[in-house]
Amino acid sequence: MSSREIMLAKIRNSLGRGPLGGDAIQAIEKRLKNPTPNTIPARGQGGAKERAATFSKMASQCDCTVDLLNDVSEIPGALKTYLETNNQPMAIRVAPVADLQDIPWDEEPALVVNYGNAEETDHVGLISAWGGVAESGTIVALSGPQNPTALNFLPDTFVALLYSKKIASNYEEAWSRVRSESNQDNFMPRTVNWITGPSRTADIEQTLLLGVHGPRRVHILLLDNEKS
Amino acid sequence: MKPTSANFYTNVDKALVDKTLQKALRKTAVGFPMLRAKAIDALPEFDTLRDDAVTLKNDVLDNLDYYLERFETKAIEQGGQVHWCSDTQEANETVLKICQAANAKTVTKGKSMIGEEMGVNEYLEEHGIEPIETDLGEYIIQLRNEPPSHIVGPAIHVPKEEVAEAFKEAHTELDAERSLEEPQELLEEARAILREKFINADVGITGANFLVAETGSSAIVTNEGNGDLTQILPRVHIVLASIEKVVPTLEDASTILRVLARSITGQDLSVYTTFSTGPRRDDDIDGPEEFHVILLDNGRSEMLGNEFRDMLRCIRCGSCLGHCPIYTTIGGHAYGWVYSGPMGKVLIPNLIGHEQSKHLPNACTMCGKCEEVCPLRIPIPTMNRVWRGKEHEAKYSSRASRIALGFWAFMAKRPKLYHLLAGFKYSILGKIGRKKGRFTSVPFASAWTEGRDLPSPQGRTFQQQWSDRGGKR
Ligand code: SF4
Repeated sequence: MSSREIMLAKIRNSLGRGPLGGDAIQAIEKRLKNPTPNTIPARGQGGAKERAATFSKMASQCDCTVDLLNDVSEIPGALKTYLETNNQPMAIRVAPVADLQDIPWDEEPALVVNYGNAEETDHVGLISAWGGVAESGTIVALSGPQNPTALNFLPDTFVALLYSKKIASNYEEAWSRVRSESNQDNFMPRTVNWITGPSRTADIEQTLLLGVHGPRRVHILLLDNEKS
Repeated sequence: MKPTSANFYTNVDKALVDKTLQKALRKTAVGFPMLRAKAIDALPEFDTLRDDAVTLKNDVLDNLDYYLERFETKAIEQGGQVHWCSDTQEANETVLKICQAANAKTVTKGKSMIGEEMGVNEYLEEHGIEPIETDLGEYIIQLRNEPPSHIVGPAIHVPKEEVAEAFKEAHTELDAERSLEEPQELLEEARAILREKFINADVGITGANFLVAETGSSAIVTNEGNGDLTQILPRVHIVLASIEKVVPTLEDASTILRVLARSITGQDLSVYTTFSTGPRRDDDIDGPEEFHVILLDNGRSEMLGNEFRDMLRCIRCGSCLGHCPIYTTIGGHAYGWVYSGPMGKVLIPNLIGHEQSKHLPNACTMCGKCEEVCPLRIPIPTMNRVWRGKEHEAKYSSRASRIALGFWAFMAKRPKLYHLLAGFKYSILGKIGRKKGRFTSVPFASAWTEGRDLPSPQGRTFQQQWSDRGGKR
């Protein structure tokens, strides 16, 4: 007998039954194919404005900084100011995704923009976040052809552009959007990252320190361009 | 690692006189409970979420075989490979085979309690492969050749001077005179050293907080981001998971995530929560080319059918440790194996055998705090009582304590004699100690009173006071 068979047999023996039958399987499959949320906290719920406000508040509590912008054209200037203030180099590695390529970078010639995945020497990375979750101020990033995962972790400074309309109230809302956008049976991308603040540790004498392996700082460009 | 749980009492003696450990433990005892309390205050739905988590985990345990098979089907559909392993030996062999097939020289590791349980580091080392722990705490204890002393903060017992010492000994390529006094300096050094290891590793091993049956994904949470660098950069990603880690849906994982970090560090979520599904897709820019999941049983399928089944709901949050008066007095190493604290003392005998762990059930005052704070409402004291019974039956308890218990049983069956003797004893002790209200030392119990005072009885027994009041409060 293979270990697989032995383990399954031992589990069934402990449960005092054989393999599940038709009805039981159907009930479980129903649960798996139509996932229903358990209790959802009230905190993140509300209209678009409230969600964006809760998101900003929660993200700031987790040591992120949030810049509220109204138009794409403001991005280069805002980013330059942020990098200057934090004494960071002006070279940024940008995820090769269309909306980031459309940013009028020329308006800030000081910024050196390179598209692609993060390299060891990159100090600043910029992604376009797939979404956000208001209840905890969490950035959601999905891996894909234009969205390398390493860019979320290697650079010292992690900047995410987030459209405020992409902020979900809670994780459950985010998951149903992942499912419906893919509309395939196997809808999960290779990696889904929830990012809630900069990297941290308390492993040395229980002292909180930021930036142990991942980014030391997380900056969110929160773009509310509904009007434009 | 070879367990030393059977020497529990000797371990405790050592821990009680270890001044640096005691200092660290005092911090733990205050720090973690405070963080938890604050987080829970900020989330009115916390207790309802706990109930949901208990219900969904019980459903998982009732249908564990089906959920595991379902997870496997989904993982394979997306190019993953699933390896069923009955025990740690088989799991180690499987990991080694995967590493050898990948021609691995170095392996980076995210924090994994299953990895600790397997002793996978030692095993790989014996076979010529260098494993590198990347969680800062795990890295420190790996350099010191120790097991973790806390499941969430593995190195909380190590003062910064000793971290500096370990770094100077290990990082000989750096200037021997460099300053490593500040925690920040230690962090910078570890960051630089480990960054290179991440980039050069051939295989990355992580644990799993969940396996999701709906999607075939594994999920991990970290605060450092080390688990992510461990799985994105190398060519092969191996996930070490025990069978009870499976949950039905992404919604269910989300429910548990809401109670997990809050219960220990007081965060709404840990900084990084990552769901990994299969290897890199054809058009992906990065990610591992192979994705393996080790499903480890190691005694859990038996627990499913005995009085310790509820323990399988445990999500390893670590909350019960920081709230336990025993853990916060003796620390993690006294438990003698990779797990510790309330969850450890119930789990260890199940995993390594009762004869190897003997007196662990005595690491308990039956105060019930662990069950009270456990997000999965695991009745740890009840299960501990079961182990105490087994300890007595197996005659692991000392001869003196068995004689004393026998004497007590004899007296308890003879109420008149019992009351007479108890009343006499109380009135004497009450007379001696009433003024101060406590004894700072007691003959034959000096080890006990070294750490705390014994309250003096107030002269009359409970039963005497009860009958004085006519059996009313
Ligand atoms: S027993 Fe409960 S409190 Fe302790 S680690 Fe497990 S889930 Fe957390």
